Amino acid sequence: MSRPVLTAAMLLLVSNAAAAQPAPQEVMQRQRALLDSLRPRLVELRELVRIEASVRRAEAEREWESTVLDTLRLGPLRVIGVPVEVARRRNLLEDVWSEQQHLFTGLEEALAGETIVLTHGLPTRMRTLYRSRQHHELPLGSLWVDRHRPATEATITRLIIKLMPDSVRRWMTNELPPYDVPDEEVYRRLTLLGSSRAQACLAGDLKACAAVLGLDGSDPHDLYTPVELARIAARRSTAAVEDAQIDVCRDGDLSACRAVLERYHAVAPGAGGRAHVHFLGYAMAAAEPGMFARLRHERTGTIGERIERAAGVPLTVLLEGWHAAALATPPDSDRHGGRTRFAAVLWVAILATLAGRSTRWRIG
Amino acid sequence: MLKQMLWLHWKAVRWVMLPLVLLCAGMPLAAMRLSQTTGGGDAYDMIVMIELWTPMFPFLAAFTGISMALTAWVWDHNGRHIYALSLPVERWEYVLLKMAAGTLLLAVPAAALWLGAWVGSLQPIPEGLHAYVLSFSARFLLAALIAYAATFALAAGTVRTASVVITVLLATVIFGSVGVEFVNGTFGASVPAPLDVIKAALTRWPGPFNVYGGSWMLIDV
Repeated sequence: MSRPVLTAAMLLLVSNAAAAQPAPQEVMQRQRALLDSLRPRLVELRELVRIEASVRRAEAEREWESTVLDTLRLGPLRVIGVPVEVARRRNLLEDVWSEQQHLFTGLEEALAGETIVLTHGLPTRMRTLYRSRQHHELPLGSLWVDRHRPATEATITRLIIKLMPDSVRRWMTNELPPYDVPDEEVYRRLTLLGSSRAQACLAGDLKACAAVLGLDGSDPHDLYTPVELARIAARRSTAAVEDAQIDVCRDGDLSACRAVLERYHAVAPGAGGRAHVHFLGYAMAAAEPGMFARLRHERTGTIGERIERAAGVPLTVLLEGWHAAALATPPDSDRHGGRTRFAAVLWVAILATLAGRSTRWRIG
Repeated sequence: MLKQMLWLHWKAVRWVMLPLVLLCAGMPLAAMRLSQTTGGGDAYDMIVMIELWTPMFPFLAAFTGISMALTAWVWDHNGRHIYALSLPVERWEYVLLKMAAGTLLLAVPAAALWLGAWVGSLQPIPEGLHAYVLSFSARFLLAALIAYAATFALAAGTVRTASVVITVLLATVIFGSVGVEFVNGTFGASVPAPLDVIKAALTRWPGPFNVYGGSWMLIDV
């Protein structure tokens, strides 16, 4: 209430003062009188604003003091929130932690003191404070706790990514462990890249796989032939038909291809972060526990060399195993088709029976 | 008697079926043609184009099934069931014959869809992609059958039965949601929302509408 009134009074003072300049003597005197009469009101309003601010401060402090927080320990991590929220989410948090605990082996020290804040139900000032301390927020408001499993998993596992060197983080494109990327998705991604090297990888060429996954430090453009690059450029261009440089690119001039891609702010796509973490997940399963802790300290060489050292397994062995596990056979597009068809036929029979038992013909 | 039922249903549905058959044959063909034209032999572009068409097929299946079911009962409803009552057959037998006739007729749009998809798949497809004509058509037929059977069962009953079923469903969703929210809020429980439960029961395996989920891709890796 007080702020708009104060602003209006100030505006009145200023406008009156401005309007007074060209006015005759008596008008000036009248306005001065008006001004003098408003002055006590202004002082009063300022006082009101001050009182209101102090009341709000006191209320916030009282809310702060009366807010009881509960803490939950998840290994080296700490989860804090109002007791109701912590109690409501305890099972989910512990469940997610028990699933992901193995990822954090060797990282306990680095993660000690990391705090996840359940912001729902916290006073605003408290939320702002935790945010300023760069704690990790889990702002969940709905009652349906299980809907928050993905967000909870992401919040916990994002802590690992935060610890990785920049280059590894970029390579993962901030995709999250624990690598629940389905094999089918990776196969599909490589097939749809439209790159002959990706096709070679699918066929079992491990060097091509290393390149496609960005493990050998090569440029993503090298995954493509000029014709393939021209196709990507044409896809990005709305006026592709008229773009003469695309034709030059198609004829085999790689620099023309790069120029066209640059013009459209496009990059030739690689396998993508989800395929990368899919491979990383396989490497982690093949390695000794604590691979993330070791990868964290690997700062030299290509990504492939770093993973090799962190896993303690030769890269070719990792790639071979990964390919055999995920890419050796095309995905089954009709997976679960049999049981779906069975259920559909069964339901048709059930519904037919229900229709046959209807009471429409009952007389009387 | 099945023959007579088939003839009767055919007379009721033929003008509805004509555009449906054309749609069923034309849509997969158009999807394949357009994806090949715009894709220009590129697997990614072709899949993107096919993905744009994919959501239309479950709708087409549902529409086909519902149309078939509604036309199955139109003569009975118009004649106030007098003709059916005069026949020397049991009620359940009459209903099953009627249902069988509709099921046989559903094979016509499904066959049209298969034909359209098959003709479309004769054109060259980029390396790594395959046409799944048979599983696509089978999924369409089953989805149409489920929509047909569900609507048929509702239409077979009285208006009162249909109203009761729909009212109970709506009441469960509305009052159940309020009640569950109250229980969860008051006691800190995590009882799932009725809408979620109903949705899961209907669409997840072995729910009746599970066939509407999954892959409807005519072309895929």
